[in-house]
Amino acid sequence: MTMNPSVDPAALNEEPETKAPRPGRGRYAKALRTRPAVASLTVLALIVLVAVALPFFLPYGPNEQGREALAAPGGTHPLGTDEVGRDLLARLIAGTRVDLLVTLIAVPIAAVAGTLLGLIGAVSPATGGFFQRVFEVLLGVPGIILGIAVAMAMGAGETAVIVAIVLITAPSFGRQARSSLLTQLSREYVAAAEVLGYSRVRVTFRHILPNMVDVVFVRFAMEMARAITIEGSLSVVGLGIQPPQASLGALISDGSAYLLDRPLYAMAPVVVVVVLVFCYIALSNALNKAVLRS
Amino acid sequence: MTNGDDMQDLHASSRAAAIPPPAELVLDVRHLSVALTLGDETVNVIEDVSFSVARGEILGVVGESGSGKSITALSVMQMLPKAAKVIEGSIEYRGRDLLGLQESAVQKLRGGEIGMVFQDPMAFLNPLMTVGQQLREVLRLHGASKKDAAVRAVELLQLVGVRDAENRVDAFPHEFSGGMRQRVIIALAVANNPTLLIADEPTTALDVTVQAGVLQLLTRLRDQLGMGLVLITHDIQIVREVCDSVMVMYGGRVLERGPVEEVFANPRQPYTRELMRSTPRLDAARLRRLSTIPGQPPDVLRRPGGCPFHPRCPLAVDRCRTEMPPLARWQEQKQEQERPHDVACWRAADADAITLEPDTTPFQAVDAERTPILQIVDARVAYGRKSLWSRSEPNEVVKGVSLTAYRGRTLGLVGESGCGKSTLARTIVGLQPLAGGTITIADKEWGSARSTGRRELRRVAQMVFQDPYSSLNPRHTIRDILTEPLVVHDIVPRVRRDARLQELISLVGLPKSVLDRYSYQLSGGQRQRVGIARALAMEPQLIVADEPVSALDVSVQAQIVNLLADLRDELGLALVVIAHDLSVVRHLCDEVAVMQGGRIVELADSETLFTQPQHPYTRSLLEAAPGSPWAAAAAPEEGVA
Repeated sequence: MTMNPSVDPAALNEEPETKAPRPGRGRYAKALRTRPAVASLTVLALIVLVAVALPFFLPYGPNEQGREALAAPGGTHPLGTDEVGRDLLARLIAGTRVDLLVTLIAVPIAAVAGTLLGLIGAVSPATGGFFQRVFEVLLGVPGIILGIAVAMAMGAGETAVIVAIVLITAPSFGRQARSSLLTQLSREYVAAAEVLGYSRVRVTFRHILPNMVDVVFVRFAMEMARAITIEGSLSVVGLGIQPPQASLGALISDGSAYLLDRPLYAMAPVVVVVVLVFCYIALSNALNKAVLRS
Repeated sequence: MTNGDDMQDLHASSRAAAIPPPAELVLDVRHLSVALTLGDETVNVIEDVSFSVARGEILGVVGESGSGKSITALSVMQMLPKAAKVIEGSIEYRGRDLLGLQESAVQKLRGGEIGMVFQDPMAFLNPLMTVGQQLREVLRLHGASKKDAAVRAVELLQLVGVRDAENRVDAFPHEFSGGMRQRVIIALAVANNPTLLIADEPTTALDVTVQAGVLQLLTRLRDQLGMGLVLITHDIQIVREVCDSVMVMYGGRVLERGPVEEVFANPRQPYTRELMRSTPRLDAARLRRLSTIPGQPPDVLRRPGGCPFHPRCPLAVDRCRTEMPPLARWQEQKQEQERPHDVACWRAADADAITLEPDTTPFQAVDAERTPILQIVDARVAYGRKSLWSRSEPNEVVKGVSLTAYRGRTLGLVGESGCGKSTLARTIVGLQPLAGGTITIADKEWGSARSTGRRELRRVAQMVFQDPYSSLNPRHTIRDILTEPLVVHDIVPRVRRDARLQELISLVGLPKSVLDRYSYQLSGGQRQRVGIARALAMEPQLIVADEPVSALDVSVQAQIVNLLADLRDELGLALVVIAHDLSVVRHLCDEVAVMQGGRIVELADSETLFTQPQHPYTRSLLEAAPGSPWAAAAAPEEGVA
């Protein structure tokens, strides 16, 4: 029998060092550097900046009545005035600010609540199942009807709009969380965690949740777009933000009466809504691509 | 059909028939190089690959993951992924250069004169169409009339050995078993009487008995249709049994090529020799350790210069590190031999220094007294239960199994898919509730305790999973993964944790540097070692390993098998190993239980079971295994439906 020559095993165990990007981090940065994402982030930032800063430089407040009602655009009223002589530019900016505020409060609440309730299934299947049925019912009711019901029950106003947005968007987060949960549960690392005796809460939050935040981000941008339209439609039926406060939806609703004479009255807020929705969707797409790529 | 025929007879006769007269070359690939662009990097995934296939010839392409064997097949079919591009060489199919053809012309050839069989049968069939519809579709696309296609579809199913073809033609893919599905795919591939068939790991997803049938079918079709067949596989035993010629690939290069008898009788490339030596053999007595090739197959992006095998090659000299040896005819081959035996190695003349004999240190049984650690008595496990929503009877998968595992010993559990072996494994570690019977681990009965005492059970019994890719959380570093059990169970005080991590990691033979990596940065073998280290972190007395090596490359499998054996001996662990690969079981296990349909049909110590199998099912398993000495009495092709 021959003795075999041998290779020094120690020399083989070391692999050349590789750059170790943390999963996720670099990916988002990369996704946000793509052209559509950069464009939509820039536009969003501009809108926020204008909504926050411009009111200080405007000659009129949003609720300040001037002498001339329904003035034509031009001069000190770049967009004209409304039926009681308020400056439309000031109202448009105030309305945008209200919309941004309302959606930025409501959608994160919906995202956290929906995701957590969706994940409950990992800890208690019965409770999880119960909330899924609740979500299904909520999804089954048209958003506008749900919103009207909330506004009727609570009295129309900002709070009602926020609650309505939460109730309408939370189910999508919940269903999303559920489906990601089921995907992750079938992975062997979850079984491994169970065999290692980790508690279900630990497995859910330390192991499953980090593996599904990607999709929550994508969904978040998507739902921001939807929230803007929800505020709009509630205001159109008069159950959104209440006068005299301005909101994009209310401006569209009021302006539509003068569409032929003063097209800018309604069209300007429509453009803002479209731009906002478009930006959120572009952002969502960019994130989604980054998630799919990994 | 070929009932009663055995593979070797069939093989011998066809091989004799296949050689003369000078056969027409069906496929002639020359100096093929394919570049792959990943991000900003471009690498040559295969380099200078040349081979040819004659009519009636079966060429086996062997290689591990990353060897470039599948890319080679895809480039012949002109189905390379977008990121890959042929940068050099030619692919001639019956004298026509495929690379110069229009896409439409290539489409005509695919599924017509050139057929392809893929690994995963379910992914290849459309679940919403009956197999008949799918067969007729491919026939119609290549010009058959509606009526002819309908007749031919039934004929094809008969040809590939589907019983009751007239009725089965209207069945959907999910109504077929895995092996039958693979046959349907083969029927699709040969529907238009191809002259060339490319089969990429056609049997990897199948059970041994089914695998034997599919391989037999391929050889029979080769004989009946006279086609050339390229069989891509990681299993050299299959090549030895079925193929006429063989091409060994490693790191994108062809290292050795030639007629099967010659290459296997006199392999000249150290890699070929090491590969043959490290493949566990069914016909050898139980060994203390399996021979291994140290290290792991190179990553596609980080291939070494010179000969790709040099870092793992015991014969490597300086020249091997800098210069790729040319593929040249082995000098000592007799010149009158018609088919050349080519080898690419600077040290081919000295390759005999690597013996082909496995490490012959025989296994020495530890004659310690047998202390039972796991006792299973009449265990029953069922899925589904009657509830308000479903009235269906629970489906019992484990039907009364009794087993005992002892400290410092290994119990093997073998059987084909669906026999309940994995379910039993999950039940032992408490992932599945027991429906009846008892499981006692370390003198404590756990079966009924659904949640109480669970934490204690975790400390005693641990599990190693099959898929090292999904059993490690991709978001955690190896350090996180190994620290977590220590923290959760407060096994080691905080100050000692680091020391314990180092201990664990060296116990499984990994360098410290892996601690700060993520699992996806490790190779399959390294991941499996991490999985084992994680189980060891709990200081268990029993480890259940469910197919611990089946997802790994051949050269790495042996390393893990040895590691498990070492740990068992060093730490006095009891091991329960579930496997479908009989040769792995033979060398790792002291006792083997054969499972069929949820029951144990045979239980014996490993030596006895492999030399004198009693139960007919055990015998059929052994006969069907590639490289099996029992093949002479192999099961008929239609053995499993």
